[in-house]
Amino acid sequence: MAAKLVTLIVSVVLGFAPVLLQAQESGRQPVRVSSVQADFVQEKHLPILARPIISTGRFVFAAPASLRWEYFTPVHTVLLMDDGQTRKFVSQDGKFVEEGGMGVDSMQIVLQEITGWLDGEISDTATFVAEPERDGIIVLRPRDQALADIISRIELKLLGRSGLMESVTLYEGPDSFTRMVFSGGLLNEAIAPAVFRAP
Amino acid sequence: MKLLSLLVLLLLSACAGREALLLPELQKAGISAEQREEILQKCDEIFVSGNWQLVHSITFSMASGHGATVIGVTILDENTLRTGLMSVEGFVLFEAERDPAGKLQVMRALPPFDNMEFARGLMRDVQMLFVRPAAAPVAGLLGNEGLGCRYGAADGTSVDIVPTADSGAVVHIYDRASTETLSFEMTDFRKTATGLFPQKIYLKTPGIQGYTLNMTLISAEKTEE
Repeated sequence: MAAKLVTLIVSVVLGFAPVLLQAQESGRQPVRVSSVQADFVQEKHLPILARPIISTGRFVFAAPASLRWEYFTPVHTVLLMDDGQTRKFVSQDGKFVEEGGMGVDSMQIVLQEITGWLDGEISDTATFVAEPERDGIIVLRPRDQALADIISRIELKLLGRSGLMESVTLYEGPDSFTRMVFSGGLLNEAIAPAVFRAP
Repeated sequence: MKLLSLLVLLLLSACAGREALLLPELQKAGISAEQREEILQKCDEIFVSGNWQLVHSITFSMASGHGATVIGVTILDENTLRTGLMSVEGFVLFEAERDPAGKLQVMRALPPFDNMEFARGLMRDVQMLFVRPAAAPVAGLLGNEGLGCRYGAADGTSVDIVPTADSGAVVHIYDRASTETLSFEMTDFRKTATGLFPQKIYLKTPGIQGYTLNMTLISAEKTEE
């Protein structure tokens, strides 16, 4: 499961990087990404849910390999990848506690995927096939059937020509999906190193 | 290394042996009718009525030391019980439903949750936490636990509920051999516009394969009936 979770997370994380694909599809030169950051609201839809579960958070990436993926609500967690290490922290009674397991160690693979996308290697990913952009939406489909059984497709919606994403929707089944809607996106802004240190 | 593992196992077994409680004697004498009514009402109040969608953050710890934080969803819909576990990132790890006839259907289960033993155990826990026992309660003194209620089922299992001074409750579940199989503590009950819910639940199963769940209520929403 760890590897599949990693793939999922990679997929969502990659939503910040399709500026390069967009540029490639439109025949423009890819934009070199040194950093990306944005707030997000995540909706979880499941057939059993009468109402979706709403999460909020912030995502910060700095090339070549630093990531802070933080959820503020409903559970305050911080996933950090920096200097070759992956760590996850969960707030318990107001204090952050480091948590192992559940694929945290494996998430170092995420970095390889992210940097690959940021370098414009979207069509070369070993995990997904990217369909050409259509109406501002790029659809990714898993190459591996075992993965396709749990993630049927991912839709990346571009935010005009800004080079940022408007949303990422990950479909686990016909009525089960996770949608992350981004706001306040910033591209290539300076980010303090402390952002990627343990909270 | 093997010796160390054996010692750890023995230690855990010894601990588990001490933790497994036996069903205390229920004493009904010496309790006024007024007290009895009050206790029965307090016991009943810990269970929700109607249709609800409950979302909790759940930090689980295995006796082995493994653990993680996930989000748990419980849907109470008439006599159908649905439950789901997902990662904080939203990925569904487990989803199952138990219909009014008691039939369990697992819709999704990823490793390490992909076995029926886990599914049955989880649904049992969820039922114990949120569904009022079918048996009629009897109020009395439950050994050293204090005044409480006993729901004795026809199959020989029992549920003991002991309301606490801070408006919470401690619940013990006993099997047919009168041995405790599960306990949980509900604290910090808060009234919402539509119901009364514990903000914190601490669940514990004894034994070498035991586990604990620390649950914090994220949301409780009434759904259509």
